[in-house]
Amino acid sequence: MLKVKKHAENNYGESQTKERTLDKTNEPEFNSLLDLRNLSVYYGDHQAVKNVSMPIEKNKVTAFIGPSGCGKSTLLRTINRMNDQIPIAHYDGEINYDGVNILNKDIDVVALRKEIGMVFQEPNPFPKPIRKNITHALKFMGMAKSNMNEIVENSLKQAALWDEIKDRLGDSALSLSGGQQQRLCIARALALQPNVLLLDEPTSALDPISSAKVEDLVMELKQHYTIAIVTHNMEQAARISDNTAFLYNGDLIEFGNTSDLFTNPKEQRTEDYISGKFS
Amino acid sequence: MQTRRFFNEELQQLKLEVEELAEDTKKVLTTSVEALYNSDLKTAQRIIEEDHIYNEKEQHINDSALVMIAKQQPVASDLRRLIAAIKISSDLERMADHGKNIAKATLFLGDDHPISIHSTIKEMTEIAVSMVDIAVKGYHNEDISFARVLAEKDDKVDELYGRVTKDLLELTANNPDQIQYIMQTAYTSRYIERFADHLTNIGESILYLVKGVSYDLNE
Repeated sequence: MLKVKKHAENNYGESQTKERTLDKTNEPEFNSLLDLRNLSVYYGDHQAVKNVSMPIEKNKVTAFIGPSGCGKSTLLRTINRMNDQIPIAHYDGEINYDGVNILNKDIDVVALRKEIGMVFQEPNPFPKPIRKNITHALKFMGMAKSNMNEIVENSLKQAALWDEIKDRLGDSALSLSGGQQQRLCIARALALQPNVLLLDEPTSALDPISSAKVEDLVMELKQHYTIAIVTHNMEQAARISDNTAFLYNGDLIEFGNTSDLFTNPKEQRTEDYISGKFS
Repeated sequence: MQTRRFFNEELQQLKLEVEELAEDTKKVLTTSVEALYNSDLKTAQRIIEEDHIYNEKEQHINDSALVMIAKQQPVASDLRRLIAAIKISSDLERMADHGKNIAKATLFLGDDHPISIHSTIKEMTEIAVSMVDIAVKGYHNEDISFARVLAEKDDKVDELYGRVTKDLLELTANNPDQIQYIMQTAYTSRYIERFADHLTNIGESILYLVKGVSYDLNE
């Protein structure tokens, strides 16, 4: 599945995988695609994420919630090595993806980001025609040109955008509404056929109707993709996620099934936060 | 593109579960009354043993509604739909309990008791069953035009219950040695009367669901 490993050794034997235990949960079984193990992220001397261990389940939506500065976006960006762009950022621990620690220095991060795509808070389409927003990344990745039209159509259909814009693929992407632009960004990520989609507050810049469309889209996409989402909007996390991780000050306070966490959290701090009583 | 499709699907699923539980209660009442008339102890025993199924179904409806309230933050009619599902399922579970109680009375009477079961109990059962059909239809279509019919039928069941108890009271005067058996049939008519009362509660829940205000159908 993962073709990003150049020289890295497989850090986990199969027996180790089976024996893994989760620090913050008593849930016995997760069908994880990604395993975060004792993950710490630093910006210089500041530790933004502290020794976090949790799974990200295959074909599920995992939400990261917590107040500003709790480390949730840092954690998400670590999963496809976006923090590598920040010179003072460094890591401890591991993120195991298909038996490979993707924090290994030998990982091909471009190939990694093809498999683990990301969509950001502000819609950021290229100032190009809609169609080229999809094909640009494909060409960059050296993918075949013969089936470009098919990929464009499929990606836009998966992003629930095709019916709205199929007759104006030559128009500038900037002519689309904010919600359409964000779904185009999702389509752009899907065109590369990733396994995982990371969504960093994907609806915070959108109006409620556009947000609802993106939420429905996320729930549709999980049939085919594994999704991790950071959101300031607790209600959104509750609505669309299967599992939720609550972070505070870089610590993973609680991780578990979203239904359980929002009806019967194990930690008082989680209850205080989700009920709006956090001080 | 319709939004919140998944939540709407969950609401539909919950509605189906409520309707299924309503159909179950109808079957429990019908079967338990048949077992009473036929002194079918085996069926009565099975009804008692299967009661946990309806308790579990009610619990599942409540759990699902609770999770939807926590996860989906419903408002307005969606919120009322969930509250109504919780209230209606509680009534339905109690209705199944009344069917179980009739089965217990059947076991108490045994297969060699000296009294004949009052024929009006059958009539009460038929009306109660027709009330379930009306309530399910009203719930399914979110139609409140049926509500008054439910109240009228409940009044009819109450009237029949009065007639049965009066007859049985007279019977005890002439047959004091059979009082324990006569009382069991009196209890049975009482269980059916309560069964019908729960259906008027369900009618009130549907009125609340549709109109957003509380009504008392017994007024």
